[in-house]
Amino acid sequence: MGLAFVSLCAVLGMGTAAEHRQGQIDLAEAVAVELRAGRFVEALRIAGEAKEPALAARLEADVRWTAGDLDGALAAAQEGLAAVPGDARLASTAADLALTLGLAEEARRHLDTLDGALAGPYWSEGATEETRRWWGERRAGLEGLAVEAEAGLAARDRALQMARWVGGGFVALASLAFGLLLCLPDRRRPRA
Amino acid sequence: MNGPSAGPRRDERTDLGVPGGDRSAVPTTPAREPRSSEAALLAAVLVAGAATMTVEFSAVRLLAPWFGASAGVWTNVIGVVLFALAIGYLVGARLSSGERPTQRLAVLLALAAVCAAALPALAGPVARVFMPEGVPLHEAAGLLVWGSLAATIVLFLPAALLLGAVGPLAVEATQRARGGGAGAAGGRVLALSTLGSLAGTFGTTHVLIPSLGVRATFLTAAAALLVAAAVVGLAERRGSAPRNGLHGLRAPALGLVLGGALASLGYAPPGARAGERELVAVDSAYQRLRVLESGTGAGRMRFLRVNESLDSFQSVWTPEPGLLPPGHYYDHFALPLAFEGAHAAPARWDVAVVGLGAGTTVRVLEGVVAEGTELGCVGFEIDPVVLSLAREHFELRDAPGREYHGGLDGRAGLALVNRMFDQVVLDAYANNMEIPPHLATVEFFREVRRVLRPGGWVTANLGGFGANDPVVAAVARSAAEGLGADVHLARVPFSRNVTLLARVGAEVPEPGSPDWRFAPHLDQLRGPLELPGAWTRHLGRHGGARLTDDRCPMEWLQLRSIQEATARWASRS
Repeated sequence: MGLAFVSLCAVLGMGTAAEHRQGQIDLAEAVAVELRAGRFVEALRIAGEAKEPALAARLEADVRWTAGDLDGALAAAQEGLAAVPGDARLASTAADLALTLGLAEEARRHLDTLDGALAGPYWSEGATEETRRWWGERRAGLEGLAVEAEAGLAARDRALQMARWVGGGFVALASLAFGLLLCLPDRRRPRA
Repeated sequence: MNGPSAGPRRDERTDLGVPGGDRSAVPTTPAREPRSSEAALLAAVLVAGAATMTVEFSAVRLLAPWFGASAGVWTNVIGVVLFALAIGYLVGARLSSGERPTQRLAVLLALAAVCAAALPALAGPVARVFMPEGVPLHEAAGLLVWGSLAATIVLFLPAALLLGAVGPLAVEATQRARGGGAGAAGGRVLALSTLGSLAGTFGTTHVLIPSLGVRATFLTAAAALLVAAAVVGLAERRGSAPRNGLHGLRAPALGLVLGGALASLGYAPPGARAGERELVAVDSAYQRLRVLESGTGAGRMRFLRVNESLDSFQSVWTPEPGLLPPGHYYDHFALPLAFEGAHAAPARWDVAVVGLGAGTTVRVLEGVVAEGTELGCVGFEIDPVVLSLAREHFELRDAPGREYHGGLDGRAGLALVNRMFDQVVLDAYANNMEIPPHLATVEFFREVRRVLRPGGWVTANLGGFGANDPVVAAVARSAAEGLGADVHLARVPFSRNVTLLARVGAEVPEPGSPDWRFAPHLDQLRGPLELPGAWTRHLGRHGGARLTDDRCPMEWLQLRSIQEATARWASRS
């Protein structure tokens, strides 16, 4: 009896997980069909049917991104991450979107989240070698873009600081020179 | 003149131009210059005045490939040059009390020539320090102001200071040469200097830059200054004791060598980016223009980039007319045709384009008008060179019913035009990111209304971060009032642009409304606009600042736009 119960639970459990996973796939495919047809509102509606916050956020971000609503897609990914902080797919989507929008600091935060997620037991141990390699490449690609964006921002900040120094220094020195030239007596006299 | 005669050695040798040779009448200026040098001095002053304005006007153009030519950049250049001139006057005053002001004047002119000759070569390296490569437009606001200020100081301060010092030296030398009071000498020098400035102002904008380009304009100024230095040097030589053969010409000769060496280094404004080919680069009276091409075959695209451009462009071309790849706001200019075409394609569609650029709007509409619809068009582009490039590289075709006006401001053009339109497209930008204030006011939209047929459409491209953006809201509010119509705002996919749509005497369809129907061949525009937040009906006169011809603080609004967007992103993350 005990063994039968355990077996039943296992089957039911496995069946539930498989059905659940299949449900996710069906939902994602339904969204993809609508996206291909350009029916974004319908795609968004289907995405909203997802029970899991992470999936709902991922699908909404996908829909908005495909429709060209980059800010909205990033907001959806951010909201998803607020609900499911360690979701690797959401973190990677958010980082990608932030980089597309030129938000380097924002991208770095999401990359840190992604690092934390990939270091977790599922991605580091449970996933297949191929999956891990894919994520490694994805992570490296985003990192390259983030480094480039950060370097650009750092260069901008350095240039801005230098420009302010030059501007301020000019005003100070020129004012001083002006005052001196204006006020100091001219000692050199033409030869009489 | 008053005061005792100076009586230096050379005074005794020359007739100083004092009537009757009465030196007692030449009291204050001890070191008298030869009278014959007065003409040379005044000629040099004329050249220096012209060169000052040439350097000032060309300064903005020299910096434009990195910083643009916005009012902020102009203000920086004018401010720095004025400050430098002020210091230069004081420096000149000090130098003028010496024994031989004419010789010093020659040296100053030669030094100014060297500075002017060096500017094109130095511009790139200096500008890159204050405007690093790859900074996107929305991140560059601070740099455009501060960076252009710093670059102006480093580049133009020396030349302007030296040219400023010319005046007092010339006054002193003139007074010594011709006698008379300081006022008389100063008046002559100021008159000639101002006349030169006048020539420099008009000549630079209307002749030198359009015909020679920016680099050659600086080199022309440098050459003129060198010639002036040589003339003054020779005059000084004639008036002084016999010396070696090069006396009086040493400074110009050295200036020629140094200036020539620096000038040979060339001028290197930003070129094509990775994956782009530069088809042409040209300086017009308004801006630096570049046509760049990317891709191959059917995937080719051409872009017109203006001045600093950063990550923006002014016009785009693809081999086939019609809708562009996603992310290009021009496609939204086809929305009126999409709505109208859902019912019945009009027999004729007349469009006025304010800010024609290289004609992208016309090309998009050409490709989407239904068969049997005749497309009429009047386009206004302030820069005539842009129209030349449009015909050569962007397939802007002349046809019956189409008029393209180069060199005519859009607002002035609309006031003059004697046609009515089904659609007015507003796509005028100055300096890549600034909507010209006079094209965003209530009064302007009233003029737009005047040329619209009943049921006519207004579509405008607005750069901004959504419907609540300060610039977008202000233009929308002003348009609503000026047009006397509801204004709608549509987000452009994959972009930070917003399209303003309004209709005079009729309703604009909204998502979900019965009229929200698209012509089948333009249905691809519909989907992204139906997403929540993509389409906004503006709150008429209640949202945003009211822009009028009297008060249109566009630059402040643009600054607020960037600040508010940055704050929004920061708070959201």
